[in-house]
Amino acid sequence: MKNTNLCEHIGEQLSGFLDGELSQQESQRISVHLSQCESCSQTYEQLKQIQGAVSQAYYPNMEQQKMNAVLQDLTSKRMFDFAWFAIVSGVLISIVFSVYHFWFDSSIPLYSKLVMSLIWGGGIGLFLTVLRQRLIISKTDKYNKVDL
Amino acid sequence: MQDTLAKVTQGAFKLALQILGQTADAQDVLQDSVSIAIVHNSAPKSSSADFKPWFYRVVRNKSLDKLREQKRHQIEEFDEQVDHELDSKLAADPEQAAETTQLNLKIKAALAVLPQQQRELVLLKDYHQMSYLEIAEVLDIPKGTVMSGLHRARLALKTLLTETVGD
Repeated sequence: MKNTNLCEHIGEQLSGFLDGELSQQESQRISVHLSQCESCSQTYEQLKQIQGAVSQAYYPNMEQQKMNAVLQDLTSKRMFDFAWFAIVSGVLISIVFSVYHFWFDSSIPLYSKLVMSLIWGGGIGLFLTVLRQRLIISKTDKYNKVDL
Repeated sequence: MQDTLAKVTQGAFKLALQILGQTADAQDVLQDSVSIAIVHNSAPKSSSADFKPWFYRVVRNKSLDKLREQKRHQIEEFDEQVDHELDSKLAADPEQAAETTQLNLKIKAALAVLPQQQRELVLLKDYHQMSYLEIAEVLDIPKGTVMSGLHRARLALKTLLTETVGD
């Protein structure tokens, strides 16, 4: 026996039932309806068949050699992070160490320390300003992927 | 753990292939997506359960970007290429080969006619066996719309397949 109102109301829940995504109460309701409604039961069986056919569709795997290279890249992410951390820490420590030695070396006259600091400070300042501009441009320029 | 990760990347490759239709393009997309997974700070760990939907989403978005760049669909070429590989795989069992190839062709021809998002919904659920929550994350849509969209897609697929059988 077909209950049109209930059939229309059930609609998408047939798919939810098929996928096991409904609550226990909803599943029971659909299950009872399917046992009573031939039309919905038929639709359900057809959807189930389609689901089976799609799950069996053939798509080739990526070549094993290429896939291995990809997997190696992914699992080496931790090594990549560690390597960057080591490089940045090493550079920072050596900069701090050099600056400390330079400023506290009594054999270098004060004017020389000031001049060198101005030159190096200016150079680093310029580098950081340019780096900042470049980073902003690379993140916001919507035309950077356009091939001319 | 390595096996699980291999399954995720192999599945992601197939998703790219299902969207793009070309093995070489799908490989490029997968490689780009892996690079993103490596450098992206918010990427879940490749060993966590969150990695699969996150990675599929990256692969899906990269595939759509590539598709837009190409500005053309290559479904016909895709069918020829995949069918060639399928034929060589099934050559050892010729009796079953005819039946399987025909069903495979029908399903893929019907999927190819569906609108992009409907095709993705059906493939992510029925081929990639993802949950509604994972599908919502991959497609960046509310979880509540997955069931209704998927049902519409399946009904459309049912109609297409019925018409094909009728022919």
